[in-house]
Amino acid sequence: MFHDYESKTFEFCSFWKTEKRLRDSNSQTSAILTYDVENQTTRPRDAKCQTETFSQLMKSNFTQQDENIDQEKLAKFLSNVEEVVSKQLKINISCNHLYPGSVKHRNANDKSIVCEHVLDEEGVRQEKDNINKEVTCISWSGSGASIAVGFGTNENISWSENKSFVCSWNLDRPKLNPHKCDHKLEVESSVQAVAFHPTLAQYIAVGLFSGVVLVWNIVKDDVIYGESPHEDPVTSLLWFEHQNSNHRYLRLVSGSTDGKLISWRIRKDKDSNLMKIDQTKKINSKNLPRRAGVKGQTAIGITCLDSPIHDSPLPSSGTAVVGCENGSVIKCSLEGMESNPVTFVYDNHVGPVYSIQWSKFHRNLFITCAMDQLCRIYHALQTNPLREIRIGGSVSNHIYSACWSTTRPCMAYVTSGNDIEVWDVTTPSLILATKLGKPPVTSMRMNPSRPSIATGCSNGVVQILKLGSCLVHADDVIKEETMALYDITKETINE
Amino acid sequence: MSEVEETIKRIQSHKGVLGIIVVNSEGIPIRTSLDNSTTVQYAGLIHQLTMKARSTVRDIDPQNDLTFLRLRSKKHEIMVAPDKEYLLIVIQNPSE
Repeated sequence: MFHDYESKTFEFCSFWKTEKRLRDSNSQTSAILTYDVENQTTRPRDAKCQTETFSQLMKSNFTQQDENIDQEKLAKFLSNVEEVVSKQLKINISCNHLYPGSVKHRNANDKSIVCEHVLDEEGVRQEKDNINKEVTCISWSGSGASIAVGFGTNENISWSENKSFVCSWNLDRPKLNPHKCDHKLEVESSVQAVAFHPTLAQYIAVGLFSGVVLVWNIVKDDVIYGESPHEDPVTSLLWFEHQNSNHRYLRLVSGSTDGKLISWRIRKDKDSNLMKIDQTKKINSKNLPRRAGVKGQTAIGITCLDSPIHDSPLPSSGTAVVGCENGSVIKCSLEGMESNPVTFVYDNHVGPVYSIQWSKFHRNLFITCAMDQLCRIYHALQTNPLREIRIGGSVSNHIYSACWSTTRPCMAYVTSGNDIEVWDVTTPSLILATKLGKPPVTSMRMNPSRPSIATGCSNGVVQILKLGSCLVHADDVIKEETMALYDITKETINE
Repeated sequence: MSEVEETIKRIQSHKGVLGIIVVNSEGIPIRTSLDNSTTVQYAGLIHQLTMKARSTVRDIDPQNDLTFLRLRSKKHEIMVAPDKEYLLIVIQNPSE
């Protein structure tokens, strides 16, 4: 029934199967390059060596001196060189002022005040029947080389018509004749105030007892009178300049016991006979506060005045501080059109204020001295004084003048009777007192650029004193002293 | 000995002279009036400076040579007189 059956097989091509195609191939890299190097470390070896130190060399040299050195050659070398070196050493000594930056060596032991010159004018001394023989005022020129001395008398009671003199010496001249001055001017009344112009040393301003203010031109030997005089003796003179000035004019302010502050002007280029008045201001007691202790409506006489110097060699700030006959110390303004100059009034002294001076080292400090034997340091913005120095000695020792040192900020010089006392104002303490001579010193001025002081006495003699190095050279202490000065002002303003 | 000492004394007697040192060509001081440490310091430094100054002068003009050297400072002046074999150093304070 059933039998085997075989069907046919079917074949069909695959769509995806393909025959693999194979190929044989070879590759070979190029030969590898190699290098061979050999190397071997060295064996270290130790070695030491030592030089002698310089000082040891020197010592050894010193001990073997005489053997190693050719004495002859050394002697020859030294003799050749000695001349050149000695010449140079001498030049250096004579020219040391040419090097301004050098630190001056301060000899702390040299506190001497030594008299260098004694000047007195024969012509004045020999005038008979003339009472105007005392030295009343002194002024140094701006460079410190010349001095002008005004003769007169401090004992004037009545109107004085006696002639008097102003004499000028130039201390740098090799043939300085202490008995004969270089220039002499005769004036009709006792000289009370004299002032050299700080930069133009040919002009000397002179104030007389008769109230006349004049300017003496030494070079032309010419005198220019003021338009109209003060009513009372002129006591103080100050050259100044305006802040916005046209420099055609020379300006001067004069103070007198009639209470007036007169500003004058002189034309520099034109020759003029008269000095014109710029402005007149008067200090009247009605403008002073009650604490000044003055009653009524009188004028307050001015005895001294000074103005601070900031940048230029002349005062230009327009303010001046004035000492008065009754003891008032007043700050005044020289500018403006009002006739009342008073801007600030400080605490009074008792008795006339003899001298007043601003400090070069602080913008707001000034020193005054008065008949009550007190020297006071005031701050410009404060009524009561910061320091008071009571000058010792007997009551008859008048203090006529007090001034600051030109190089040391804390030092002040005060004349007391026959002495000059040097005070340190910070504590205050007396550093030194020097006796001068018989007649009491009536006027004293510090030289603005050299270490000397000029003092005038009532016998007509002017002494020029040289200050020792300790009092003058200040390079090492100037910073501390300026700081000390600033500290005094701080301590009392806060009280 | 005396001539050398005398000359040194003479130079030292000028006003303001603070000290004097004689140095040989290697820079070693042979005579001095100052103390050891200062002398050594001055000798070494000034010797170098002088050599430099001399070479400067000769570089600028080979016919020229240094004759005198002055060093001025705030406190004093140092004067150096050079020679082929020796060097004289003088220190002076001119403001005294």
